[in-house]
Amino acid sequence: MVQKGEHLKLGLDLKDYKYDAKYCVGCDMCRWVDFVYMSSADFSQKCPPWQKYKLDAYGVAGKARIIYDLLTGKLDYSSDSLREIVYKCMLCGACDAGCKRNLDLEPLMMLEALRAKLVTEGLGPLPEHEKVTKRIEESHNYYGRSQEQRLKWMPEEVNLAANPEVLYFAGCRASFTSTEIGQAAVRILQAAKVPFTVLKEEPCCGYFLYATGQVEKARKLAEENLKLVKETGVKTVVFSCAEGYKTFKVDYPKLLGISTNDLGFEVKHLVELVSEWVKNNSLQLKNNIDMKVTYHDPCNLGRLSEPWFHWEGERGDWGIYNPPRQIRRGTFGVYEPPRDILKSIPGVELVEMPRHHENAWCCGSGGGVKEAFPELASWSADERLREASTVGTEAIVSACPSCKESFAQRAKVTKNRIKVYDILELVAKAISG
Amino acid sequence: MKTTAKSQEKEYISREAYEALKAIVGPEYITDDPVHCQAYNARGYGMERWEFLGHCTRPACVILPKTTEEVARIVRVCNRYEIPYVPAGAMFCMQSSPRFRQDFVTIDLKRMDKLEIDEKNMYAIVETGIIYGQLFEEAVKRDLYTLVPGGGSQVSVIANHLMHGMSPLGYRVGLSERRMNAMEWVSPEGDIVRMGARVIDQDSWYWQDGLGPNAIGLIRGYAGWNGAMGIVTKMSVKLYPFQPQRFEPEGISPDTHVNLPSRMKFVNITLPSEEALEKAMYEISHAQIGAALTKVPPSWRVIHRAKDRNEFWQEWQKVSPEQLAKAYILRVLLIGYTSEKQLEYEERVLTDIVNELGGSTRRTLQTDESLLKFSDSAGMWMMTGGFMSSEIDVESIRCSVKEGEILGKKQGEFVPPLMTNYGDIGWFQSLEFGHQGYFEYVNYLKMENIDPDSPQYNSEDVVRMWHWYLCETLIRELRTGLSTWCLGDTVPTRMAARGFHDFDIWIDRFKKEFDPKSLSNPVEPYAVDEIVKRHPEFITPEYREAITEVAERGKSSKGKK
Repeated sequence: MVQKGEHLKLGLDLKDYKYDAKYCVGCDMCRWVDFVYMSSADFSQKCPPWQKYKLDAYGVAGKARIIYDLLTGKLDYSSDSLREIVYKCMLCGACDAGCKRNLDLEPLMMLEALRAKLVTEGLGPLPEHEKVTKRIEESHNYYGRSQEQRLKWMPEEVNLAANPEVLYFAGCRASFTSTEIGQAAVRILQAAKVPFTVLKEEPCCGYFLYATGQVEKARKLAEENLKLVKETGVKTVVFSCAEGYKTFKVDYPKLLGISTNDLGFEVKHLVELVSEWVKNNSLQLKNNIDMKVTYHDPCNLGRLSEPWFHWEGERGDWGIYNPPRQIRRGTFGVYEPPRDILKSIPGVELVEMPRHHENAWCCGSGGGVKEAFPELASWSADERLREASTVGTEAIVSACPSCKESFAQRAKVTKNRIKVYDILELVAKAISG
Repeated sequence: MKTTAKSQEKEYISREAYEALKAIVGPEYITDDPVHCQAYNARGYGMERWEFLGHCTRPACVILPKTTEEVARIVRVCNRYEIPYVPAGAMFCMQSSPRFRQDFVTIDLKRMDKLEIDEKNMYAIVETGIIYGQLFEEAVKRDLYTLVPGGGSQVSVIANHLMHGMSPLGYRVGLSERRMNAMEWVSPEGDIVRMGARVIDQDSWYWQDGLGPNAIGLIRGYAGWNGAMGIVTKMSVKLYPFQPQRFEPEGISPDTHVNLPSRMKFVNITLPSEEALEKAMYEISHAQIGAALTKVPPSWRVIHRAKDRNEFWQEWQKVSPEQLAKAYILRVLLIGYTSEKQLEYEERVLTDIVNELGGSTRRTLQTDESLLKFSDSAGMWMMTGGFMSSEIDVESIRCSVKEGEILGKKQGEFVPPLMTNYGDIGWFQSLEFGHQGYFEYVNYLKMENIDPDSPQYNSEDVVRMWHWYLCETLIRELRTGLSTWCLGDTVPTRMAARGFHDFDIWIDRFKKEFDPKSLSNPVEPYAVDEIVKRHPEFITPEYREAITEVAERGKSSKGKK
């Protein structure tokens, strides 16, 4: 139990979560869609591995019991089944938002710290993750491609500013495999007359390293990337990738023991800016796009995107945090700006899926799952596409290339006729056709 | 008892038994891996009672059947190899976690998730994996509703119906025994038994009674068997006509709620005294108006406003006993089931009653996250991390109020480790239009004082906590003639039964007849007796005296053992 006066940081040290592991009440709000919003027996759950594999170890309520026994020495870290259980999870945070509806425990941080612990013990990441890690370390990008090709996606007509206000961080996917997103992003920035630049040899953001528990490598990359950003002198770094966005905004401060506000620059997803520009008329979405769409909330843009607040303290009498903590619940995630944008595009009809906002179902590709457990990732994406089909939508739109690629790949494999877009593609179309 | 199975070093289940179980469900749905099994240890309400005393155990094996036939085969294998088993539905109660022994098989029933609704005849056929949240949503789509219990929408429909099924909406339609129809039961020895109308026709799910005696009473009860009398795998539960307007959900976690449509209305009423409160409950009930009629603890109003524990304590520490003493607040939910006119009529009747009793209505938000959908049941743990009810009682309304008064006065003597209620008289409501009252005395615990892992652990506080839970409630009730229904939950059944018509005779007879090897959750319903055996200091001399007094008073004829 937490010793009164025992100093906690609630960062990536698993032992700081003994209280959270022990005091999970087993209410399963980590499993079920918030009952206020639950609308049917189908689509009533929000934890993909738990729903698919059924055994409770795949959900955080079961993992809490496991973590408690690990911390008290009753279970061993070296179990193969433990590695599988730990990594069969997208770290999507649906459990975290669900738990925090009523309680003040930290399920997601507990899971992240557990991965970090496995890596420290030499038991993680998985072999499939190590292949990707090698590519990142050697080539500075997720795909292992030459960094000299990194900017090939940039349209010729786009001019980089000599005195930029904004750094556009495209990310590995928009640079290599979903280049249409990067191209849309820079066209939008240009149309909004925002002086921006890019990093010529933009490195990987490190999301994959962090998500697979490789904390030291992620920390080193964070330090390097922050140095590069500071050298540009920009005050705002803009992303089109939710993974990169959340990594910079939340995980970098976490790794470095600071708060988001201490980064020295603002971190924004482009949808946040586009939404403002549309409202104040500095960007006009004038071209018609006749389409019924549904919006998929990327985990890293929605419930996981609140700023990180560094905290150190204790749980005092009655378990009260001392000093008080800012608890990240997903309340202030970026949910409305993308919806406002879609509603502003002439001809677009927006319909909601049953699970939306903080209850959104994960696309399946995060947390190292796509690399190590592709069948889980595929199943999760298929479930989301099935959910989209129930609302009569023609297209599923998200704000993350990782989500888009997941849905597009699965739609192709399953011959699903649903169209898959990134929101920035539609914005770019609406600006200039 | 055979003791073989793999749980780290020791085998608690033989390989042969494990293979027999695996042959039923396939390798994907069974495990004896200690990491997987640990996920099923100490889950749910009651951690302070079981886990802190070290009586929770990891099951030796977890198995997930899909059909009644698979459940029956599993139970037969368990009987063949003498393996105790415990059924697990939603696992929100510690009763579905193994305790005391390490050779349990946990039968996780979540794969049994079929749900069908007969709209015309107003019932739903559910399997054990269906929770209230799912049933409620499917019902309202059809202008029907079910009663979500206080435990929350995450509770298993079947498991809850086998116990009291207490919901604020039980004000109209009563507790679960009145809401169940036919069912399918796997006996503790593995026979599949159809009950109710299904005895006549296996597709008849509409009625609880059938040919011969009503056997459903055998397998359920207010306190229930807690998994000790086989496994109900399918049940038909009544649904009730609802008003057709939809709820609009609103807000982002943690502040989510539904907005009530125009045919539903909350009315909060302040009454000038406890007597007026009691009278109001009777009058409103007899007038047969309303859909729910409750008096809730003031702490819940603070929980509702607070986002987290820190905020709760900032607010709670401003509450004064004087303020609480005046908090005779009734919460009424009105529903115009048939029309707007019904709502208007009921509101007029309510207003008349309130005025006659010198009460007044308060500003009331027309939103809900509790009564209808219970999205916030886990909020009971928000304040301190520990929550236990020391009484969960069906009494007359008058006696419910009386019990609250008695316990409210006594509770302060056990602070700490209890959190003070400032003498509040608890949570109660009317059931079945006043036929019964429901009373629950909720308590929140200073966990650092009773958690053995905590440096602030105080063994005297542990004993005091147990005195409160095991003894004080029962003593007060025995001495005042009030009833208690916590038997089996926080009262040692065997020990207390002497004072209650020796009802344990019937438990033992049924158990011997239907579960001769005592394999169906064998720790129940005498689990608390087991605690008392191991911790005799938890029982006070006054408790023993009170039981003896009642037993010797010979208020009713004694059963023969």
